[in-house]
Parts: sequence; structure tokens; C-alpha cells
Amino acid sequence: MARFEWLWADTRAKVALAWLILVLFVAATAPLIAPNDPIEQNLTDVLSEPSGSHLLGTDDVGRDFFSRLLHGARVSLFGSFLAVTVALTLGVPVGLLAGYLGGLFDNVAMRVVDSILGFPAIVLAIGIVAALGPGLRNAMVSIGVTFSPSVARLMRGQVLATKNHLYVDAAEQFGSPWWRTIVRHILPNAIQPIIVQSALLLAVAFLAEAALSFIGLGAQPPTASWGAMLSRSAQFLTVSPSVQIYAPGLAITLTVLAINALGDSLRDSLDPVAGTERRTRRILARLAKTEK
Amino acid sequence: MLRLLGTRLAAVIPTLLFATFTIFGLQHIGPADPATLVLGENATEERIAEVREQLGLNDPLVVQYGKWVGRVATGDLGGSIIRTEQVSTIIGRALPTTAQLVLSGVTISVLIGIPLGILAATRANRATDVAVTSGSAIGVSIPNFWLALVLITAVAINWGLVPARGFATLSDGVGEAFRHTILPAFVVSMSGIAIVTRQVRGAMIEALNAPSVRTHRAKGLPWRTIVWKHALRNSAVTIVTVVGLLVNTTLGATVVVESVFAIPGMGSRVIGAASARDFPVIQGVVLTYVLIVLAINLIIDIAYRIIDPRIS
Repeated sequence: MARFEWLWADTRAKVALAWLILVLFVAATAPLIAPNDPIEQNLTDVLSEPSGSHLLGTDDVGRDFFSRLLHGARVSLFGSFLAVTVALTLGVPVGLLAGYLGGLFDNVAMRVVDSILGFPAIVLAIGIVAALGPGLRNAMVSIGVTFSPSVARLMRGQVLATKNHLYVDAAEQFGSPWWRTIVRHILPNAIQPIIVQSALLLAVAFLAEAALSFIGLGAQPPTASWGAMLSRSAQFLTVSPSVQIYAPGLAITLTVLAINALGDSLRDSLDPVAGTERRTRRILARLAKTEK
Repeated sequence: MLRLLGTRLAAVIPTLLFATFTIFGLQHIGPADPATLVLGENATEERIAEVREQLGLNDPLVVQYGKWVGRVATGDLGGSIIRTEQVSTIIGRALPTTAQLVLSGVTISVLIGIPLGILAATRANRATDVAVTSGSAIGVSIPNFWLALVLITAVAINWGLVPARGFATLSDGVGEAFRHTILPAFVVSMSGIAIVTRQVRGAMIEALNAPSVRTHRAKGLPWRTIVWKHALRNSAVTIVTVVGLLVNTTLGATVVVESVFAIPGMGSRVIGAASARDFPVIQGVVLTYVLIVLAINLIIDIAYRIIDPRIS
């Protein structure tokens, strides 16, 4: 339990976790708990206001908005996890090798990383989606590719900081092959900031999924994603029930906020200096409360 | 100074080279043949062969890349596939619009972000600080296109204060330009405000904890002078870095926000081109973005050295 002490000590992180568990639960069980079929159209009942049979009303082709919202959680979460997975799969090995090998490989890899970081991420992603063809999977792979340089650079920095430790030297003296040294000795000691970074990237990926689906390059109709739903509501801005503008946006904002909060909290728990600042703040707050 | 500029420019070249390679490669990483993309699925064999020849697709990739870079270097970005227009004409028309939006957005971020950051830093860990910090956490979490929708509904449609769609540049008159710019500029500045606030807060807290501040207080300098003159100057490097970062962030934000407001800028163009797979336009726009970001990075790099002579 001691491992998760940071979580229980931080109210903000607890609230964030509760929200994320709710979203995960909804994503996992959407087909079971959604009251209606998310893609079943009913053209005699379009853009209706919230009612007993349709909690959030119906969209422009009469689909139950609430059911689509529940299913959307699934799509949005899957998309952002996919993007982060791609970013890690590309970024971690490149960063590890660049840091460990140094020399020419390092030089070339870091030039490539620099130049990808020179693109505004969303623009590069749009370019790649245009090439691969629109769709959730392609969109999120593109986002993952644009994220990978930042992962590679962070990983490389961590390896450089780790590889001069005595235990790495010792392992090598005992004849550990290079791949074993990397996997068993360097990676476990350099991975912490990558985990924090992944959490923060997940939040950005979530926003990116929403944005790409909003402009029609991500999740394709009739799939419900929170960004795609906003796009439909936007087309009928003046006639859509206003809750259909607010609900998906609020869902995105709260989820991103929660992921960010959890990531920050995790980082503080790993960074003794920032963690101390936070703890001091909490103690001061407690003292202020008892003084009253 | 000139020598500094020279070495910095030289360092940009490999980055630019790889960037152009990526941009060129975009249309070749996809599963579809570029000629088929241009003509659609139903084109005849002969027509496809003709267009392949026309686009130079039969040459080896390296030769194609060389030709492309050669053309681009002279400013010839090719013609749009969908519109009968040169890409450079399209960009020439869209760039001032996006530039106006980005500059307004960055200005708003700086004007709101810096005072907020200083406010939070001088009241560190008190209620004001918590409010500002939470606000900036929300600022980076709100999807900008949703904020745009909500504000369009409230400010433009319900209150009728500004137009909901379209754009006007300065050449259409200052008043008109202001009415069309203020809302989208605020939307694209949102994450910028949050970033600036957060960074300035951190830098100012550090600067205010410096021993020199204690000396200033001891000799009776007013607190206002310490904050706005001494501490702020010691935070200058952070602030310049953030402003550089801001251009990149804001540029990214305009892409989707432009399409919500139906603003005919670079973002709307690249989204339209991506849906239509109009690669010359995509390549031209992306290249322009990269050049802007690289230019800003160069300026920031040089600005550092002017602000802080210790960096060499």
C-alpha cells in the first residue's frame, strides 16, 4: 500500500481517480448500460429536447444522445491509449539506444527528433492522416508518431543520467551483454519520468482525438466519439438542444483535467522537491484551519 | 552578432532538411497511389499513367525529392489538385489571416498570463494562488474548439456582440477586424494563458526567494519595485522561452478553431486539403508552419543571449 501513499494523501488526485474510474467503467460496460442503440436512427424524432425516454435528447438523425455519450467514452479512451502506446513504442527504444550508444546514432536520432518537434503536432498529424486515410486508428497512430520525439528525448536524457552509475559499470564488468544491461539495469532506473510523461501525454492525446474527430479526420460516422458528437452538434448549433453542446465538451474537459491532475500528483510524488512544496502547502492549510 | 546568427542558421539546416524530407514523404507513406488519389478510384488506366508521368511519379524517390526541393526552394509549391490555383497564391491569401489571429492570441496570452502569474507568485499558496493555479489547470484541459462553440453560442448568437463566423483583416478597417478577431483570438489564447501563468508563477517564486530580494527589502526598496523590476527581470529568460513556445502552441490551436469560426486561414485550408487529399496544399501549408516555428526558435535563441549575457 505504501506505494500508493501519494494517492491517498492528495484529495485532488483522489477525486480525479474517482472520475477516471467512472469513465473507465462506462467505457467498459457501455453496450450493457446504454439505454438505446447508439447508431440506431429514428428520423421521426430528431433534435428533441431531453426527456424521460431520451435523457439528453436525440441528435440530428434521431439517435439517443445519452447512449452515444456512453459509447463515446469507449472510443475516446481507446484512441488516446493507442496514441500513447505508439509514442512509447517508437520513442522509448530510440531514446534508450541514443542515450546508451551515443555517437553517430545519437546525433542522427536527435536531429530527427528536433525536426519533428519543429512541426506543430496537430498539423503534422493532419498531414499523416491525409496520407493514411481518415479514421480513428490512423488518426491516433499519427498523433502517437508526433508524440514520440518528446518521449525519445526524455528517455535519452534519463539514460545519460543513469548509465554512469556504478551498478551499470559493475554489470558490464561481469559480462552482461549490452541489451541485458539496457533492459535489466538502465531501463528500470530511468523509466519513472517516462511513466509521468505518458500520463500527461494521455491527456494531450485525449484532446487530440477529440479535435481530429471534430474536424472529421478521426472517428468516422456512425461511430460515436465525444469530438465527433460535438462536430454534429456544431453543425446544428442554433437548433441543437444546448445540453448536446455542453455534455460532450464537459466530459472531455473533466477527463483531461482528471488525467492531468493524476499525472501531476504522480510527478510530485516522485520529485522530492515539488512534493515537499505540496506537502508544506497542505500542512499550512491544515494549520490555518485549526487556528480558526 | 553576425557570427552568432551564422552558426545558429547553420544548426537549423539539418532540421530543415529532415523536415522537408518528412513533408515530401507524406504523400508516399499512404497505401494509395498519389495519381489515383488525384483522379479518384474510377479513373482509366491511361489517364492514371498520364498523371503519373505528369507528377513525375515514375522517377526514383530520391530524384523526385530533389526535384521537389529544388522547386520549393524557388518558391514554387505547385498547383492545388482541387482548386485551379497555385499553392503559393492560396498560402499568400491565408497567411495574413492566420498571422493576425496568432499574434492577437499570443498578445492576449502574454497580457493576461504574466500579471496572473505574478499575482499567483506573490500570494503563493494562498487562496488567490490556488484559484489562479486551478484556473490554469482548467485552461489547458478545455478543448479549444468546444470553448469556441460555447462562446459563439453565448457571445455571438445569444448576445449578438460579435459576428459568429467569418473574418476581417486589418485592410477591412480596424474596427471590423477587431470585431471579427477578438473572440477567436481569445479562444486560441486560452491554453497559452494557462501555460504563461504557470511558467511565470514558477519563475517568479524562484526569483522572489533569491537572497538579493532579501537585500532589497532590507534596504527599504518598495515591494512593488522588487516584484516588477528586479524579480521580473530575473524571470526574463523563462518568459522569453515561454513566449517562443506560445507561438507554436497558438499556431496549433488556430488550426481547429479557424474551422469552427469559418475563418479562411491556413488551418481551414489544411483541414480542407486533408479531407480532399490535396497534397500540394498540405505540403505547402505544413512547410510554412515549420518555417515559422524554426524562425521563432531562432529569434528566441538570439534573444536569450541579449537578455542574459551568461549564456554563450
